[in-house]
Amino acid sequence: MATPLDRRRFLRLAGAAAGGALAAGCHHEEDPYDLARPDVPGADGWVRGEERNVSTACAQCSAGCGTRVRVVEGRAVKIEGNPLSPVNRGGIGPRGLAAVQSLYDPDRIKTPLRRVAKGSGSKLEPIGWDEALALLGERLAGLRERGTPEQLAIVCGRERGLMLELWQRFAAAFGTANLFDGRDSADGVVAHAVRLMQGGHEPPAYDWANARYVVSLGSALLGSSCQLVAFARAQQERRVGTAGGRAKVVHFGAWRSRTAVNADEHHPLRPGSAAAIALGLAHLLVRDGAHDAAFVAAHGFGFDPWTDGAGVERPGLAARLADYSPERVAERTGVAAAELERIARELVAQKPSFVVAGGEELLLANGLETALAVHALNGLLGAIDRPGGLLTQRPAPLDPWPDLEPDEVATAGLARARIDGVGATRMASCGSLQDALPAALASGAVDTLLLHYANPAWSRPGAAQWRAALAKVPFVVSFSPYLDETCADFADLVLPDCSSLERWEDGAAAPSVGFPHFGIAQPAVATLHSTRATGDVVIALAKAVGEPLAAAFPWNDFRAALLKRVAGLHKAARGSIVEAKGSDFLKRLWEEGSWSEPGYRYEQWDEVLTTPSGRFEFAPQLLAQERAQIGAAGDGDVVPRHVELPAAPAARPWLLIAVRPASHATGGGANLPWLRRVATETQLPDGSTVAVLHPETARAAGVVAGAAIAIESEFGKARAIARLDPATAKGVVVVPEGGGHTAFGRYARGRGANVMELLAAGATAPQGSVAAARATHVAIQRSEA
Amino acid sequence: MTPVATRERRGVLQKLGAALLGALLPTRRAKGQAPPPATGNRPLTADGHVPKWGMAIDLDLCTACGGCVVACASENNLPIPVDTSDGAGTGISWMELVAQREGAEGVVSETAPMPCMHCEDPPCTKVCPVGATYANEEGLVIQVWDRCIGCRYCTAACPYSRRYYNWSKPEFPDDLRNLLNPDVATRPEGVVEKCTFCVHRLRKTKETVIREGRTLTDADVVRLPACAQSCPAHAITFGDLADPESRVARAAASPRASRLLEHLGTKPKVYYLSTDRRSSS
Repeated sequence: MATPLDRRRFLRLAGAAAGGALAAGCHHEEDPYDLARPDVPGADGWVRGEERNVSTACAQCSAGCGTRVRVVEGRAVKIEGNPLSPVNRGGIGPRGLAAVQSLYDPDRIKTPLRRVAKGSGSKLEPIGWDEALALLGERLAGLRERGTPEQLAIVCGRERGLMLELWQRFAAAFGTANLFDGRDSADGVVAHAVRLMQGGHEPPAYDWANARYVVSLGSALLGSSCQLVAFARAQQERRVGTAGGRAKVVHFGAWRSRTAVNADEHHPLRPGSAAAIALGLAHLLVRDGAHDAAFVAAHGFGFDPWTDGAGVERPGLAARLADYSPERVAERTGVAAAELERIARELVAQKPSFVVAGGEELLLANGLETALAVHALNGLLGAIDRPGGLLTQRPAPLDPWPDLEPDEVATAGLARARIDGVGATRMASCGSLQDALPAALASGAVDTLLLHYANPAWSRPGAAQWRAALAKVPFVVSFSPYLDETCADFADLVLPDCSSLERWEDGAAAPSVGFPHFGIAQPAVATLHSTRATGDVVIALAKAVGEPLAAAFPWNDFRAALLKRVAGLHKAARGSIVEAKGSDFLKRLWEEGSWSEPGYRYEQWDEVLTTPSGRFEFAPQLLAQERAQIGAAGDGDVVPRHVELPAAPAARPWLLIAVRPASHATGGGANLPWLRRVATETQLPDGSTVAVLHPETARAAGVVAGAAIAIESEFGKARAIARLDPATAKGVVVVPEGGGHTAFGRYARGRGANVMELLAAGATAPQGSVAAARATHVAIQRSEA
Repeated sequence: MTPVATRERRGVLQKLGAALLGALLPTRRAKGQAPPPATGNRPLTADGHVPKWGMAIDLDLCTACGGCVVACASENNLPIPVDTSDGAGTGISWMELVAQREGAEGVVSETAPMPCMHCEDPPCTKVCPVGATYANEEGLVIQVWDRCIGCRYCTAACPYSRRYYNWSKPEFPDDLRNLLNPDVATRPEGVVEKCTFCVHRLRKTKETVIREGRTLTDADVVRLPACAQSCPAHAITFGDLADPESRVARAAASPRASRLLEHLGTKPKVYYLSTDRRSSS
């Protein structure tokens, strides 16, 4: 072996020679390493070796983390967390880091496409932007001319933010009530419960930084939750910063999820029984006089007996809880009475504490009851708007959109019933119900369907029903940047969006910090292909449809609309950026990536309790009203309770639980190959989907570990590899979402199974929750292949 | 073609990439000679102290989100996993989430990120027949992929399985080539690669420090590697183990700290902190 001295001498020589070779190369015309600029648009505006860091907001999930994109000579090479963002404070999860792969996905759609020759010989062919917009504009103008604007349906998969608001404005000006947002996740169910009991439209923000004890009922804190990054950072501060101040997390869940592994305790949960546990804990708090009686007396309604609209006296939550003694709860849930007693004691002894529900537990048929029971328990704990409890996200002081005055056609269209029955046969507080769409589409109620951030042919429960319905819609338009299943098979027109690193938008952050903040998303690189940001396209489309829509969208592009609203932050003259001149304010906003006003003010009851009564309603009056409106008043009982899931039929004895791994949060992600390395809990290296079963369940079903199994529901079939885990609830098969693409590019296609094929569309709970409320039972067999 | 990082094997001289030079330069400087600003090889403190770079990973904080894994892949131009005929895909992952399994069912009880351990007494360097891998004076276990002949002795010798052989030529199809980091050369088919503790970032930081006319501080390096920088939970700490005041040295001295396979005597410089397992596994 060479001595160090020899090596040094060699290296010095090698280094000198290498330098010489490179220097010589500079003058050599054919040197392959010299002079060529990166083959990306806008590269000629860069000096060789120049780097810039562009502050922007991540769009990979709804958390709204601030990021910095490292751009070298016009190429986005790396994403890093922005330490100035109050949401993630410099950290960033795998989805956010992989956004550069979504930008440079080799299978992106590069121009608008139009379907020629419907039927078997149909295919998508490139079309120019002007022609495409004129085509769609004409079609939409025709709908208004015929006085049927409600035949336009829009699905915008975003949960919040300015893009959703832009679509809402478009729908209102156009005259259709048939706008569907993306709020049908577990977070949407929590938001629904909060709306009914407390008012407001958002799920709570959790005060992780100050909590000492957290009970999680099925939640996916470290899975698909939008609070993953914020939670991880807060936990870090609790565990390192304060001596003995570490927050304890007690998790109940149907399987050993990442949340369960990281929790201090994991109790396997019988699916659909979380409401019984929450009410059992509430029973113990009240029995021991440990509930926050002062909060209940000053701000509560419906804890004690109350009188309904018909003048009938009804029992309150206190009476209901009598039915949830630890012994009764143990029967219903399998959680030992002594364990429940201990957890109730710890909840009180280690205040501040709160309870969080989420994940697949809220997507079951009794999800809304669960969310209501958990929210009631938080009320009894005194966790509402207190340090270490549930915060209400305060909005940033953006300027409002200009007033909108729908014309006669629009007013008439807006007055017609929604095609999903919301407001008529479903509770109005649901907002919109995407899962009622397949039936409506199949009935011919929709002429033109616009899909933004939506790929229902693959991503929705009852994918097969969706495909049958999509085939019947006369004109389907997708804005997807990728050739997904819906584009490939059903879209008549594809108007590809830019990647999130090429466009202007806002951070559209889910509640996480409580105090007002606003993240800006700005282009990190020049647009690679002939794609256009959908925000710009909506504005152009309004102009193509003509007046009065054009007048409602007076901006040249989405950036101009964004700037108008952002002006409110400047005028507020407070928060993290205060500048006299507007241009200085914007310069700092572009540099820092976000504006925020830290310092949450607790116990602002008039701001956080916005029910008509101004109280925290343990017996939600809105629920009573809306049930009466839709003719489902039943026995008028609106006090939280536990509802049993329907029993399994003999032919399909197992309950299917579809779970969302973090790599698949808010859908998509399968086209980002880096994420394969982190999805190991739910995916084999070859992409096969992993189904998790309790060993006893497996034995009863005749399945051994590692076996290929066929899972069959009433609606479809899927293949998976069995993994056995004793920390799984019995009688349950856990299957992850995110697999089974038949399109969506080379990295996504043909890997694993799509659990959505097994679930039913339109399986909405009787009282009409926001989410696809599921109770899908399946049969399991050894698979041949 | 993009001028960076997608080079073919064309002989030793042309292939000495920036990252490689950065790794080698510390051995070139004669004692007492003032470093030229461009090399950035300045000791951590003014008194000639030589740092010993190490890492601490706090498993009580880690949520196994996988941010570190993707950050590493992005920073270091790791090959994109591709589907191969046997369905295995390429498995190169310098930073990898390794699951600890327990019981008859092999249930995952904890998942820990594993970079190269950068052992003080590395078994891998001893078996290399061509001097393609060695520990430098700052304790980094360097892999010179341009010198590697692909015999894979080192891969067999590493008790932590932290070395990866390129069985096929890494492909970065079409636009995906654009996301290659110009600071790190891609590796050709037939060589072994591994975690470098982001030596190119260390080098950049040293240059910045020299330009600013000061010495390196703990704050300059504590989140220096891409994995540590991205970690939402700040579970990964990097720094100078030879400086008892550094955060990593204090973490290494914690009663919660242990190293993997300590009984082998490899003296890894990656410490794991965990309340559950105080002895080495």
